[in-house]
Amino acid sequence: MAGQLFFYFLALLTVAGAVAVVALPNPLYSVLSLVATFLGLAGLYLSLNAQFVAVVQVIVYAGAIMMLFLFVVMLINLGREERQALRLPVQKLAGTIIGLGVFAGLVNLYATTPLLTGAKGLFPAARLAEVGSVQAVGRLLVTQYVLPFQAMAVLLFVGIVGAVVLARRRAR
Amino acid sequence: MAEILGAFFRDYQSINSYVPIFIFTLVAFGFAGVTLVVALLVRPHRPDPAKLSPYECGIPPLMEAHERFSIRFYLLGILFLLFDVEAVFLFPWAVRYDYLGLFGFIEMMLFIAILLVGYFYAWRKEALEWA
Amino acid sequence: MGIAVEAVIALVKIAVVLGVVSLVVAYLTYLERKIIAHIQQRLGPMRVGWHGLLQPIADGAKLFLKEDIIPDKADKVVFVIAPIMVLVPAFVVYSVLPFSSTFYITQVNIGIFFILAVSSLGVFGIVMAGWASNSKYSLLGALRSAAQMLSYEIFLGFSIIGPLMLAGSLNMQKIVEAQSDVWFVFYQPLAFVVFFIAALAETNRVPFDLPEAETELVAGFHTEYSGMKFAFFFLAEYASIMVVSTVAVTLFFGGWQGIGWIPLPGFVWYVLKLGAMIFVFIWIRATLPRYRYDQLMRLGWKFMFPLVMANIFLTGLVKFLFL
Repeated sequence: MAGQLFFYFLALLTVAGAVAVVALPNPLYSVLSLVATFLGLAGLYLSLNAQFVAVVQVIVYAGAIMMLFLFVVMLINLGREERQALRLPVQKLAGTIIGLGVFAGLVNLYATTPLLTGAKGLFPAARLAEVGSVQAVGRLLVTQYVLPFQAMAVLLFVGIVGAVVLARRRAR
Repeated sequence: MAEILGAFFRDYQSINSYVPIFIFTLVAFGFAGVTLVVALLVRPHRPDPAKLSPYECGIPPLMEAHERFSIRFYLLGILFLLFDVEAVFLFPWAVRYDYLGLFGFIEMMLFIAILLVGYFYAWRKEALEWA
Repeated sequence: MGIAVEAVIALVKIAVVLGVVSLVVAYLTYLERKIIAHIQQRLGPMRVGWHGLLQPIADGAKLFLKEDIIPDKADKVVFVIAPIMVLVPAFVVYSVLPFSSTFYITQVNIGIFFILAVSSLGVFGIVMAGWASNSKYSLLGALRSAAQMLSYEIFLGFSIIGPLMLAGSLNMQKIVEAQSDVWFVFYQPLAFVVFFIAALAETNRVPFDLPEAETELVAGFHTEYSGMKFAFFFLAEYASIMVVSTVAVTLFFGGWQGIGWIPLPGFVWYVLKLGAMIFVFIWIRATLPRYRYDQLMRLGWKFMFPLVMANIFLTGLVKFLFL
């Protein structure tokens, strides 16, 4: 009962934040709303016993990426006159249709399929609660998922190089 | 004294240890909100144009405050993001270090080494300079 | 019944912690003024009460009754939200701090990770405050603050990897228990130095108080703030000082664990260690000048970053070879 209450509270926070991101006129407000959405998501991950994902959600998404968004919004700094609503009738119509289509597909999936569960891994729920989510990730990261892990290092490296190159070209 | 406190706040087995954090968050918001509202009721409110203008050492503000600022902040934001991701992956490795053995150590040093190459690239290209 | 009873117990604990923290923060400002005054051969506050002991109460009442000015050109909504966004994360981290072996609000198995995550959200409030004020000093202060806090957050995160490798857990209570023989500061002196410097920068303290450098930026991001909203920034800053000091005590100085055979309760040990740590914070403020901005960034990125990396490598190597 209490668990459901938490779920609905967090779900409300997440969805309301997401709606506000799209609906609010000021991009800065949108960034703030997206932070609220991410915090709601982190809460949902916590309730699923995925503490590592929850913390990463807060540190990386809510903390780092949103900070970058904030910098971008402040860097571009749209004046009030530039901030007027865009008039893009075709895009709006297409967006509405696609959005509704995806939503209908999800509802259909929910109504017709029995509960989807993935393949059973090394850490089923009981074992996960025992060793802790962070420890489980630590173990899998440098054993089973070594290759994706190192590939991610390369990806981050490319990110650093890209950022430096772009910023240098602009600074000149 | 400490014994009494200790007995009063004895550890309790919680269904979910995150629930108190959730409650604390609500209480903290409540504390902030109530304080602001009460302060709103008791404090004076006598605005005048000079009081309401932004502070600029006594002279009227010269330009719009929201100026565009240096691209360095943006670059720093990206660097922060990338190294933050790296740090995040060090935590699970660190707490499992005792069980991972030589392979785990080498793997993580390789991970760090790849990023250190990026770090030294940024250093050489003077992306870390602020002067 | 279970969860309702637990919720009530948690509420009582939260109320106690919030009340004590608010009071201690108020007296921390008094202590700071007094200690700095004596280091500089002054007397400090003397008028209100015996040796100015009631000064924090008077300050609090004054802030509460002051007119709260919202500048004309400010973004009013964000202007009001910003101080709350700074204050709430600074308070919420207290929910996982270990005050003694039995007194804490809750213990989670991602303890220190949770603290890092939540305290990283405080930067938002500062940037929003600077932006919403629509004043040049505020915006400059906020940007400086953001760049500084983001940079040093990385070094702070990396510096605690070493102790965590020794503790083998993120749970604050377990980290304390892992130090029952030797404090981690003896194994991890490098990590402690970096952690301490990064903690000074994270809390915007001297010598890293550039965001509020009063001689050039008036007061930085809170230039336009007054009354209770200003008090929130103040409260959050000092609450954060206590948090980073507690984390330092927990990770490096054995938390509430005593020294040798001296029979003092754990909570007293914690308070003694915390007090010593905070005294060093204040001492530094009374002694050191302020860094210049490029010096601050250079120190972080070109000195502390290689240092923490070396520390992680050395810890791993030594632990693998000898332990």
